Amino acid sequence: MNKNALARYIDQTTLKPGMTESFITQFCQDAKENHFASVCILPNMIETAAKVLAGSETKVCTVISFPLGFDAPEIKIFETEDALAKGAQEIDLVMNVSALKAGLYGTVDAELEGVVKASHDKGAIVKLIIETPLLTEEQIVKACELAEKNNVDIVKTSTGFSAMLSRSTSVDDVKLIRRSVRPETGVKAAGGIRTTEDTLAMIEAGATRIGASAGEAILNGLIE
Amino acid sequence: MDITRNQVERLIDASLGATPAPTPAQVEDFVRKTLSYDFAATLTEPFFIKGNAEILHEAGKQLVSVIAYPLGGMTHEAKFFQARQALKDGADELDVSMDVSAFRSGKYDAVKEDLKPFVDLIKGEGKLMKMIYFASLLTEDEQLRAAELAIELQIPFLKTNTGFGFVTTTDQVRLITSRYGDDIKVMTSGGVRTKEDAIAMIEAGASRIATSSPFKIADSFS
Repeated sequence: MNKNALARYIDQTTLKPGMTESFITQFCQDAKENHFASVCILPNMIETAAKVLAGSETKVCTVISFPLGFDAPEIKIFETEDALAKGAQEIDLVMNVSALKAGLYGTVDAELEGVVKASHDKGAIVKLIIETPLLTEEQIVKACELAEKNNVDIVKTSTGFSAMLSRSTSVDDVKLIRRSVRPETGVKAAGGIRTTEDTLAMIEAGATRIGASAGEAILNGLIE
Repeated sequence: MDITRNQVERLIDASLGATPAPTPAQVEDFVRKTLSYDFAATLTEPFFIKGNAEILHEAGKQLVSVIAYPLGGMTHEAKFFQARQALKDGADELDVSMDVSAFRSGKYDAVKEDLKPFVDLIKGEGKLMKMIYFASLLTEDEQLRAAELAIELQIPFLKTNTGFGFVTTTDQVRLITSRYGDDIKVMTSGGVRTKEDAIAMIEAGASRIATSSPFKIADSFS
């Protein structure tokens, strides 16, 4: 794989609190030059990012109910509509893991149905973050089933919010999701992916997107 | 300073903390456990307000919800929608994150514009607002500027940090209380795990303490 091809897998990500507008502007400029698939940023930075990325092949991706996912469906749907109106082209939604674990599938269905409809109506795609480090294999399969039922475009492993999680995303997470969704549904690996080697292993396991804050280092580590 | 168990208890906002993805039943168990203590309030995320607010209110207790938590990166519109719903669901206090990106970009007017409607909404309903200012991401000058901005908006309470890896120091608390102690109260959040930690924060001037070790701290007095 060459650099350009690898770049198309990467959502170049910065989700730390308090990033300045000038930092985000430069971050997006660099992402555009590297032809990354998207820049993944917090919602209050969408307008700043959209200005830089307008007309480029690098999309504006944002996160909804991030990183905990503990909002009722109507809040998540409102936040999605607002993000789309401000220029987001890809929506990474944090699933309500609490509801899934408690078997409250109606709650998960409701948030997915609303967020997917709002996004698809605007031509945006939805990635559902299921937080694999907090789920059993059975729960991962169930989350994939709900994602499929609601036409989620990509299932994403994790928020990568390390203050809360005891492990990074694994190759096994990616394989399990890959087996649990249709071939046309994408898989995004995110959380602790820092090297070219990690990235290629995830792609090998079936990932179609990679969330990483070290996108440039990952490209530069490629032996072409 | 001789500080009693009850004095400490009454300053605590009890939080389940960084427990990853508690189920609704686990949150309810936690909330019920707080009923036999004399805490200032019990804290939940917005999804868990419904139901738990009723449990707390029946016992004469308060529920606080966090808004734009824990990253302070929501848009004004989404954050305001979240706050309105939280009040409707029964929250008595809202801990609202300021837009820390706008703040660190030097756009203080934008930060105030973002917060002003929250002040009006929350005060209008007779509820309490605390502003989370992310002390650990700011220089000392910026921390003071954040306090001034809150005072200008007549926000009654500052909350230092969100927890989640950010530990508040007694110096951060004292920086505000020594300068602006007459104008605004300070709740410390992040890193208070023992009775000694709590007492040090009270001595530094903290008026509230958010902690995910509320039972341990209260029980360690006896």
